[in-house]
Amino acid sequence: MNNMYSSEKLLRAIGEIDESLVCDAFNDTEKRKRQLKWGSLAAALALCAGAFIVIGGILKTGSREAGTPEASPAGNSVVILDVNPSIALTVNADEKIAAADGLNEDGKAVLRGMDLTEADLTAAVSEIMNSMLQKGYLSDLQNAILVSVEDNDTGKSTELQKRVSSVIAAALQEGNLGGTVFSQTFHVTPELEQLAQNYGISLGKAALIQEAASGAPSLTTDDLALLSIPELELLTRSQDPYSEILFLQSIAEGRTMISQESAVEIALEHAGVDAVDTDGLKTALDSRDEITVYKVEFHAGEIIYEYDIDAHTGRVVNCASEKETVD
Amino acid sequence: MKDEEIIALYWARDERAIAASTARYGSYCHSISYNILHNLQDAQECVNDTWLAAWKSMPPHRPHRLSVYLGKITRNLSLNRVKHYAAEKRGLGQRELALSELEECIPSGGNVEQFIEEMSLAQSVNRFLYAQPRQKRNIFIRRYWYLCSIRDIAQAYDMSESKVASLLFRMRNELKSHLEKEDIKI
Repeated sequence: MNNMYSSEKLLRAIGEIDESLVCDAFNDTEKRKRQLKWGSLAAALALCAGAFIVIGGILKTGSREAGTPEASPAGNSVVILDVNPSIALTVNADEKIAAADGLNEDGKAVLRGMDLTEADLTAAVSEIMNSMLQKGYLSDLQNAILVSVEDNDTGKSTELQKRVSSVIAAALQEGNLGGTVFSQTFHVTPELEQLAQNYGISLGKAALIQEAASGAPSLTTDDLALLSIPELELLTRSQDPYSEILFLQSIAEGRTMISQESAVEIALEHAGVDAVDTDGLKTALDSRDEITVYKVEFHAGEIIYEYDIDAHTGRVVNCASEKETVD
Repeated sequence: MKDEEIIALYWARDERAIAASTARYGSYCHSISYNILHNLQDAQECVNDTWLAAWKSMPPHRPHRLSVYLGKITRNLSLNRVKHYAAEKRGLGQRELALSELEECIPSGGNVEQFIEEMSLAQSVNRFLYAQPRQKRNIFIRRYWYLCSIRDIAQAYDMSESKVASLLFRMRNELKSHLEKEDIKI
């Protein structure tokens, strides 16, 4: 028992180690692979790792290579959306869409079949958000958005940023999703364009990488390019807690999920089993055929029951039972 | 909102501090708690309790790194909760549960000796960690600060689980020798 208390004490003491060590461990990306999985931590981060929306005040028209926007006539702006898919919207002075480009394959997939020319910026963003929802790029488990603004006119970029953010918030709520909007401003430089081109990423993400790199000289851009936006945000924040590069805004979930207890009750009732007669109860939130479900598993007598309960409606999506085998 | 602004809201007793904390660090704290509890609802409750604890502790505290400050609170709350659950699950009887429940009554920082002891232990662990190669150190911290599973660490570092396990095993032995050398008794 003493050993248990001692190890507990050690675990608590480890909680008090230098903050810089804790940050460094979080930011460490050595040998990290492309998957954003960071075990459970990444899974949780993925709750807010879905989408990025970059609003640019750069002036540009026509299509271009990923992450290599060109200069455009004064009065125009560029809005780039990154949701893994990356999309660039060229916006004229009247805030109408002059061009919409998929900057990567996912971005092209989102835009497929859509004609946004001359559409209002807000309508276009709304339509793109709907497309992302329908095509599964936004979900309960993937619902974070980065809004980056590039414009020399700070007032204008802030205004655009706010407007697009509110459209995104509305779209998320309509899709019954919660989410987090990250937003930033940046300026296009040849280095930034080169960085975006090298890694096939948006200028917004490239700008964030530049910012993160300036505070973490031990990390290479190769390392940083593998990170998700929420991770880059944390890295930036950990190096400079007062960084103004990002602004975060949480969007309340439009539709609440049933509680875990309710899911268990539904499963028990469906199985016709009394809670006191069960053991080995396990529940977990999961996704099945794009539906968020509670997986509920329990034993009653010699029977093992497994249920998938729709986390929003409480509907029994799947159920199975089998006799327990003894090894 | 900048960290210093959020901290200022706490100091001004402005409830917007909670919303701002949720927006900026909700997912970070949730991930820490989820690693420990493996239960979304419990993790969310711990995160909510984190804002309450932050509300009670600022002022007088003015954290240098708000992320780690809040993360630490979440970690401690989650460890407390998991300890309570473990006692329940082990069926060790009401004594364990009562002890676990009574811990909630003990004022934090009330025991100066215990605090100093914990700080000196943490300082010793700091020295040990600073002496390690960066990757080893970070694997140790991911395991014992963030409570990441060995499988997750192995994936993150593209190592086999057995390699991570043996690396941690050796580090624990090294830490034991280090603590003995520094005459730290736990």
